[in-house]
Amino acid sequence: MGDEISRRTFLKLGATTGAAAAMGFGEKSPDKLIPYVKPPENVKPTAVTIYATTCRECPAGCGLHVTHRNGRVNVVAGNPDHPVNRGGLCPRGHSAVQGLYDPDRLKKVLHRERGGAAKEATWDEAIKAIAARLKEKKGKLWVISDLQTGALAEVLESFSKAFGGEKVIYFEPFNYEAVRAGNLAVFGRAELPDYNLEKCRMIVSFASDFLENGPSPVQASWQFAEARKIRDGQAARFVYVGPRLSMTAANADEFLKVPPGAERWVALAMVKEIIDRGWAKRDISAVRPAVEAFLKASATPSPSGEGGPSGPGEGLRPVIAKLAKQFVEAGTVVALAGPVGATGTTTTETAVAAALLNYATGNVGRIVDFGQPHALGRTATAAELQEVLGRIGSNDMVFVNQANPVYARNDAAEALRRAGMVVYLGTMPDETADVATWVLPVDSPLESWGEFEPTPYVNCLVQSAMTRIYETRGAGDVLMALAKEAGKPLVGERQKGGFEAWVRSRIVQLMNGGEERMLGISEDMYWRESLRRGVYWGEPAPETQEARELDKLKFTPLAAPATTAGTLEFWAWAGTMLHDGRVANRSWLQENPDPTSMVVWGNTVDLHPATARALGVAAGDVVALDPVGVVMRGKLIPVEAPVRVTEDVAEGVAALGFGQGHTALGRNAAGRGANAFRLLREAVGSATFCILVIRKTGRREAPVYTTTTQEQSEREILQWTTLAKLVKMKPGEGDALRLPLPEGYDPQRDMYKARLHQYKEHRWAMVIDLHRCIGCGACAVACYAENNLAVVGEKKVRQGREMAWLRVVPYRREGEAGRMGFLPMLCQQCDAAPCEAVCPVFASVHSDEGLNAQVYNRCIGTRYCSNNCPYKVRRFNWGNVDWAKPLAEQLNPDVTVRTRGVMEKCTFCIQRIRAAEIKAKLAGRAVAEGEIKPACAQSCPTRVFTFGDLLDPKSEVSKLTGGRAGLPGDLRRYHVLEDLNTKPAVTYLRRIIIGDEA
Amino acid sequence: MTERAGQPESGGGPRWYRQAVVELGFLTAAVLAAMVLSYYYYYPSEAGVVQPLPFSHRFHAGEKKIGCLLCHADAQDSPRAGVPPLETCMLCHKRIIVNYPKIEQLTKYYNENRPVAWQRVNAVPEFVYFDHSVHLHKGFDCGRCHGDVSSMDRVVPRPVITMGFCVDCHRAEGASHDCYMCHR
Repeated sequence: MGDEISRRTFLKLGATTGAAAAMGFGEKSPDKLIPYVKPPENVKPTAVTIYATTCRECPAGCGLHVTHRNGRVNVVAGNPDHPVNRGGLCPRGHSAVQGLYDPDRLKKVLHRERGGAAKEATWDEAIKAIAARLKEKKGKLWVISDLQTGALAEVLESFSKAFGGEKVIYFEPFNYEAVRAGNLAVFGRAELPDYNLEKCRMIVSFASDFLENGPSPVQASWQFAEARKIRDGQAARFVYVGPRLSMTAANADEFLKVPPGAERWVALAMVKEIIDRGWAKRDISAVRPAVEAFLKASATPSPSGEGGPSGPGEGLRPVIAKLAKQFVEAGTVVALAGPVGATGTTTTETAVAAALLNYATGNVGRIVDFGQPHALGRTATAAELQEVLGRIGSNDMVFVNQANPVYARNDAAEALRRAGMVVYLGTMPDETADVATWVLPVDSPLESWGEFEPTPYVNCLVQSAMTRIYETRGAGDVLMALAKEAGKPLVGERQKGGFEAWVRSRIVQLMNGGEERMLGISEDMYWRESLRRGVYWGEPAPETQEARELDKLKFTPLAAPATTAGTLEFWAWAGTMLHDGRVANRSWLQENPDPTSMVVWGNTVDLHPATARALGVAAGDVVALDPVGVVMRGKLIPVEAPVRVTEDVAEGVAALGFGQGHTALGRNAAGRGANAFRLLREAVGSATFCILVIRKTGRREAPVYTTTTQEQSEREILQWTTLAKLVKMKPGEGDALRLPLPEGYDPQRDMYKARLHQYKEHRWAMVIDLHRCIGCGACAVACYAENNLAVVGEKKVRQGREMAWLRVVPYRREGEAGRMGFLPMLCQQCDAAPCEAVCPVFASVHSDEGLNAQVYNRCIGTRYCSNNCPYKVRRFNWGNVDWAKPLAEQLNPDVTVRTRGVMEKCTFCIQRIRAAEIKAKLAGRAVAEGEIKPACAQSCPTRVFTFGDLLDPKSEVSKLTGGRAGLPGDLRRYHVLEDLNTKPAVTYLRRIIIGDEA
Repeated sequence: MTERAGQPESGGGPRWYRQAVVELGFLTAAVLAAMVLSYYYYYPSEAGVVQPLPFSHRFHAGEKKIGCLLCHADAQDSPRAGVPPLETCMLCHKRIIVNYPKIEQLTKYYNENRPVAWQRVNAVPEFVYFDHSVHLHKGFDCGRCHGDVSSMDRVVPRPVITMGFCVDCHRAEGASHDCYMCHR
């Protein structure tokens, strides 16, 4: 590659061209055109280049395709050839670009004398000062980092070794240590195995919200959807046991609401049933005495099947007998244990019980694969961290790389303040940066080189997709420069070309020893192929693991009300948007609602109505949560949030989501909501998290919702069916749909004498499979990214002025508590569109391809269209958006940025339709089926959306809807508000309840 | 005035001198007129904005008959025609009139790897999305929208591109004039 233009230069040049050729919109068109001096091959102004890289927003390691245009990155999408995410992406993955362009990002090196304010410094000063201190060797060296593998892990470890540090501490707030501890107890391996959920025929989750928080949420999502797909009249049944109706729980066919900690009671009761009835395929009888002792000691059931704080009721016993029977009969099954963030013995015991169930049914080595343990198994446990933080002395140096222990741990701030020098390498001015002596701004993952290996055999490459925007450096390069300056350069040979060369040399090593041998191919070609693919992987057969020493297992009895009057059990949960809170400054994730509560820009303390009544608190009261029985050290920030009263949580529980309550991090995160991590501690007694009391503060504050009701008021917007019903249906049965086609016109029903629209080439339509929709909201965030949707902020959302073109509404099934479904609602592109008829200026018009076009430059903002829209999918711009610099750089140049006074709505991603049409036209062919993917469809981890042409009888949408004459259509098809005769182009497929009841 | 009229040959000098001044005046006027006329002869349109380097489309596209796509190659397969990179200029100017001061300036830019910031001439509003490639694919001449560039030294946007201009053509050619064609 020697004589070619270097990658950096290319990106740099691209950046200058980009700045002129397509500047951010909402600003005036540029009046200067700046071409390349020497153009890189095949790069055209505004043309898209895709870079394959790896998402580093959490340790899942999903593959990314980054859209690069004019020197900057706009939109990210999943890499369809990646084994982890298979083209899907979660909301946090989409927000990676907002992380890159975060207006609050660290831009300069900062130095802070002890107790003083931070001052700007130069890189040279920082390197010199830190290296000098390294040379002094006064105290110990500690290296704390977020989870890293591969090249950066090598750098971190050799750096730590070179300066006498102990092993690197990989810190992740969610490290699944309870599951690891459970596996250690049962199998002797403290690891997080890989789960092949897609092969399951039944899944039971014991408070594991695997669809929301992983360890690999996108992978779990597509696997879950595959397992739930109906094949030969069968599909995997999913039962959730836990105290809170989480998004994962809402996807269950059956949600067993039990008090916190009672998940293990259910799991162990199942274990006993399996042993008693001789159903176990692998011998676990050694555990019987312990299980019996546990069940006996725990037998203090409350008569209420609801289960108050006193434990699950006797009424659960027949349910458990049936559950165990179904579980065994299904054969290929899995039990998963949770929740995340809990580290105590209670959660470990749940994990032990789940491991026993998997082992007893013979699924270890089939569904549970110990051959591919997750890299998260390398993260430090809470106890290890506590020990390390306790040992940090006043002469010690602490390096913190892209981790935020001060936010997620109560003891970290004090420990770091005690240290002699804290060097923080990160992208955001977070809580840990606030206590650091040196704050070194590092590249965002989209600007970095690196690699990540979520599981063995999956080698993901992280490549820089654009030139850096600030004076940042790669974390690897910084450490290498420090080591060199301090006189102990790391591994000589690899130091030469910087960190990028280090990554490259490791990738090339794979060529010689890895799974994928590329003999006869030059190193350069292999490297380029790696850059193109972004990932190499192998798929070894699952590895089994024998259980051992089952007779030594012990279980702590389920406590009788640990809670006396007035005390509650704390339940923390992690949602799809904010996860562990590191992404909390990204406005898309704050403005897009939590899937089940629809709360935005904050969090709430969820209480059961009975509990709230007993405590005398009402919805909207701001309460403080104070842990009981813990000696608190240091100054603690109170955990205060408004109350939300809901039957989605068990009685006697106060539930709070992770991710908010930052004291730093930036304008969107700091000072917002309550930090659930503050209440985490070594579990008290048998509590999963802790026992707390609620203190009324006297203040009131209404949480902000984007959807004020989840009730359907008999309109049957979201519809369910059952597998039993479906199996009995014959092909062609189901709803007769009035499709937006000439066949859909009926003079008896339609107002106009003749059909208004004639489509010549295409009639775009969409099918949304509600059975596959898990509610994660990735589609909505992808829409924000692709279509330049404005983020309006808390105040305006409260006024109902959010701009989401697509919303995922959690609707309840009437008359059935705990049954929730998710319905992505976007413009239905109706044939007889109510919006079009009422626009006085023809800004809302029907397009030649059937879309309800909204012409921004015609719109005068009467809002008649929105008033007349029965689906309420139109959004009005109440003000101009001030894109905080450099957020405007993210804007997609293919889509107009709307201004104040203009109505806007979903366009089915018309820019993508046009691009595909033009591409086809230039090639002299028709647009191929599946060629066009709107952002929502592309992003969806579970493949809910099918997009295509209704005029083409062979298209997938025609097949699913029945389309043109003769096609049977999917049995579950229906239109939302079909009786209005709008003839929508979006057809929904009903959600299916799998199982005998319902 | 009356006083001055009484003074013969005041402040003038000899008659031949005055005659020469008048003749020179006429001559200058004639030369100027010729220059102005020849300007309009050579440059029938008005001149466009001044560019950082005096590039003449008239000379390159008119005199030398260089095709548009030699420099604006992206027009064939991308939405934008693009401005050629300096490398394209240097294809010829590595050898041709290398010592001309402006070309020396160009060479300097090129050698220093510094781009030239050209003044933009043609633009559509930011809510309009025009694609060069499909229009060229359909066989339209560049001149249909850009006028006779080969007669302009400094290019002016002629015809003026308005929505009416686009729609008239779309109508005449039987192309869709659906709003979503250009607005999104």
